[in-house]
Amino acid sequence: MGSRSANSARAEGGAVMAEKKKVPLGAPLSLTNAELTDAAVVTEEDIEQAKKFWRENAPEKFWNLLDAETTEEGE
Amino acid sequence: MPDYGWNENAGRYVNLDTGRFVSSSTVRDALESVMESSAINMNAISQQLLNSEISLAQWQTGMMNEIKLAHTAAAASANGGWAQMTQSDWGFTGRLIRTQYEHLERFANQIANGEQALNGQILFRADLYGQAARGTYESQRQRLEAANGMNEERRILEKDGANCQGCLEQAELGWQPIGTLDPIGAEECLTNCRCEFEYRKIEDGEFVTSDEQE
Repeated sequence: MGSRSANSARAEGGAVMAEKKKVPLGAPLSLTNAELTDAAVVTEEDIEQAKKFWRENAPEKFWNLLDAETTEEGE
Repeated sequence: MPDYGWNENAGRYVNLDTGRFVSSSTVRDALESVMESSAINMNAISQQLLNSEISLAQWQTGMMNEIKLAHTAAAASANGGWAQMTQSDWGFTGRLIRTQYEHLERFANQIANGEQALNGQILFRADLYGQAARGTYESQRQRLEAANGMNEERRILEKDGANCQGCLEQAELGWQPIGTLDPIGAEECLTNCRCEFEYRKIEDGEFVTSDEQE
């Protein structure tokens, strides 16, 4: 009896463990116009992240494309 | 991996190994890979929302981060790279990002009030944000071409693509004053649009176009 109860409890516990806690949907962000504008400003930190993102995701041949400096060359 | 330079007069990247210009469509192809990664991230974030693993506010924040990354890279790629971006260019980019944030805010509100159900359509709509950086690339490029004296533009349809009616009509208009054709993303195909623009100006009595070679 005791053993059956323990097994039953373990089974229930397993089911609970397998079921992830659902995060409530909640409310969307509530940003004022000024906050929305501020959020859209591209900062130095954003640029550094975008540089990394480009290097990680552009085709290998173009990893350093955006590191271009001005040149008089080209035809 | 070649090194690249930026020729300001031509408004073109240069492959410094070959000395040849890099075409705008090649640059955009490179950007497509970056945008695709961004779209995959947006899809993953949206799937987390559908699985109730994150809240709506967390989803919105994650989407905003991805939007900014993609549009920042798109702007720099259109403008000759990081070193050529001025404060004015970043300001222009910020305004385009803000527009995307406004769209996203409406989208989030629709989810919150039930107008947009928590279903697969969210993934479809999220994907449009991943594609929107293409519009930023073309808008920045138009700005650059205008600064370089180009005064006419025409829409080039995607080769072998299933172009929408709006894009076909825009392309049929041929050469028009720069800035007067609809921007990328304004037709029925929305941000999925893969059209490009070509620019030209009259120099010494002859048309000079923005066409280049690899």
